[in-house]
Amino acid sequence: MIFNAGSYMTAETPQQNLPEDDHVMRHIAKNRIRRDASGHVVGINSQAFRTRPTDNGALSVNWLEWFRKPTENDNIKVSIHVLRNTRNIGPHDAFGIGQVKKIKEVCRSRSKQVRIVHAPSRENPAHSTILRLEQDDIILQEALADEAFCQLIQNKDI
Amino acid sequence: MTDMQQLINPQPYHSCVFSQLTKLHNDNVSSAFNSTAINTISAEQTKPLNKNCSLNERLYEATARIKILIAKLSMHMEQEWRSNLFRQIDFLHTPEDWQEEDAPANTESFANFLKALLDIKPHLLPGLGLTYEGNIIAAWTTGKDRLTLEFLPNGHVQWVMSICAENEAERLGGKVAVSRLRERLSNNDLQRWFVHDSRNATTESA
Repeated sequence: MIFNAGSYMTAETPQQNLPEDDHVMRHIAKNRIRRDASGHVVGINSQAFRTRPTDNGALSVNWLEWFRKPTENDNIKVSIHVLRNTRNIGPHDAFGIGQVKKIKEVCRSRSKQVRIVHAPSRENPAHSTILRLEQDDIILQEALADEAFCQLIQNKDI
Repeated sequence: MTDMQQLINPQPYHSCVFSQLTKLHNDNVSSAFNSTAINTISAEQTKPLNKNCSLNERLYEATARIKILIAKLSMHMEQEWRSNLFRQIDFLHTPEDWQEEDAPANTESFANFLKALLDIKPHLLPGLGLTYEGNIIAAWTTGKDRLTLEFLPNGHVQWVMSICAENEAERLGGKVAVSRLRERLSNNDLQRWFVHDSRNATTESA
């Protein structure tokens, strides 16, 4: 079992799979946002979904429905607020949002059976991870960028 | 203002520094790909950035190295290209957005990007990005179709393209030497990516 750095789960705590219909949000650093040559935002670059060697194949996301706010927009706002308090979020950064079911479907199309599990930390109780991603699968990363995480919200807009 | 400051904040771009560099390199080399300017990056430009320096200093140094590289090739580029690349590099290295664990743009990666750019000579410049390792990402987007090139410091390019046909995305990817990139992409309709199509112009502002 892989535990995310900062997680307060213990070896005895089972990792909860996120419901298929729920959504996750990933922080997209400014330099991984896809722009045209004029600086217009046109999407997310696939490299935003590349794990670092220290990530052990686990990609950090936030579980939006964990916040149980009345609307999806409220969940998004509170998630961004939490991320701003726990990470270095710049004015030109953004957040990609994808549905759990779609993310798994996209990964299956590349023969990857990923798990998306709740991995809360003290600072971020909605923190979750996508497990079993391979660092070198550029086509899967591209599919996550242009098909699975199809909603992009710029930090400056919230 | 020193020469270095002028390169980093050119005002205007046809400053005396560029003029001098252009004269120095005005040797009528037809193929920029074979230009010695791009193939002879000095050891000074590739040595690791001093980790003891502040973040601002490291970003400043990385920006300067890349702008010097662009300036060395100014004879091969239109001023519009030069100023666009300068602007994009400045934006990538903005300190207030910087992720501490990221590496600034790698000079060798950028040199490989310039080689490819001058070899392919696209009508449209790409949007630039950076991987967390400091590799240059060049992205062309035409509607739902995407071409992404990641320039590795070792002279290779990792490419991935996504083409939407009948509401289904076809994706291809691979790794190729920068010297073979144009040939590799020509199998996939170069014009799709590199020729301007006003129908796909976006209005969303960064």
